[in-house]
Amino acid sequence: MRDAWKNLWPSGRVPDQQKLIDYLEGKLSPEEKIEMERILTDSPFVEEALEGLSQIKDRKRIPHITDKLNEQLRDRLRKSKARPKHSFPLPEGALVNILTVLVIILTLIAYMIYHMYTQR
Amino acid sequence: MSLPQETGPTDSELLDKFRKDGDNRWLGILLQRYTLLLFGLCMKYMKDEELARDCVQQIFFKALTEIPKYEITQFRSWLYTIGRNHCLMQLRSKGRMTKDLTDQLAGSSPIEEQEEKWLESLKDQQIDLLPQALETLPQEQQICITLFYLQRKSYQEVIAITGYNHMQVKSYIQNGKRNLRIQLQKNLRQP
Repeated sequence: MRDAWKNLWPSGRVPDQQKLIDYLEGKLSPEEKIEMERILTDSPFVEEALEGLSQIKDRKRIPHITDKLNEQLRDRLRKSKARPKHSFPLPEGALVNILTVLVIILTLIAYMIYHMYTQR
Repeated sequence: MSLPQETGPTDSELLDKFRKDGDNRWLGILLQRYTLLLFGLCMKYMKDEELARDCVQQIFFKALTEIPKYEITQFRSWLYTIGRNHCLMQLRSKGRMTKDLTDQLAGSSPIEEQEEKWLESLKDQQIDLLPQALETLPQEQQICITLFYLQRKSYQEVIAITGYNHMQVKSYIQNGKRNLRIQLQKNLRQP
């Protein structure tokens, strides 16, 4: 019984594309259907997506549509350059701190030089 | 075809890989997991295949631009929020925004994310408090939660057993789960 309570935990998984299409067409086994209904109840994203996909009458076209979209995404990624890798990634705000320390050091050096010349 | 999530790295792992080496390939794998869901989401709002395809491309572009700027902990919820808001903004710009959709845009909140975070944070011994919390819910919610989650009945079976309609069952389950969370949080705060 204790384990049954864990059914309340959202699965957090993205349902397999074919499973979603099979669900729309009523082709899932009873066990798979229950699992899909649990995902739908826990995820408004999946629920709204299925509502939209149900408007496509010819379900066989759905994989072709997503393949085309994925291809366009890959094209876009190929064209965009990869972000340059930082050799030494700086934590947020580190640059401001470094600059502040540098300004203080430079001010001190300038003061010491000024002091040295005025002493003479 | 993209990698199914259950066999490949998690969304968070892919985001970590991208943050480490800046390689867009990781974002490609991640976003392709959601192509179908995004297309379905856009179809729901745009009600036109061509417009929906264009919307998916625009959401991909927005995601690729925004991901490097933020520390995203729940990628699915984040993508859902930007995808849905994008569709609603498109409808608004085309003058096809209804009162209901305007309310949705104003009140959009990542409910999914809140639920997931809360349930993941529940410690094992706190599961023992759930039966007690369930008893405080209205009877309809208790019945639907018990049948759907604890006895793993399908929606159709819950409808057949209780005589409630589909919308009622859905509402009792979702509200019941939310009330369960509120009740449990109240119980945990008590000394």
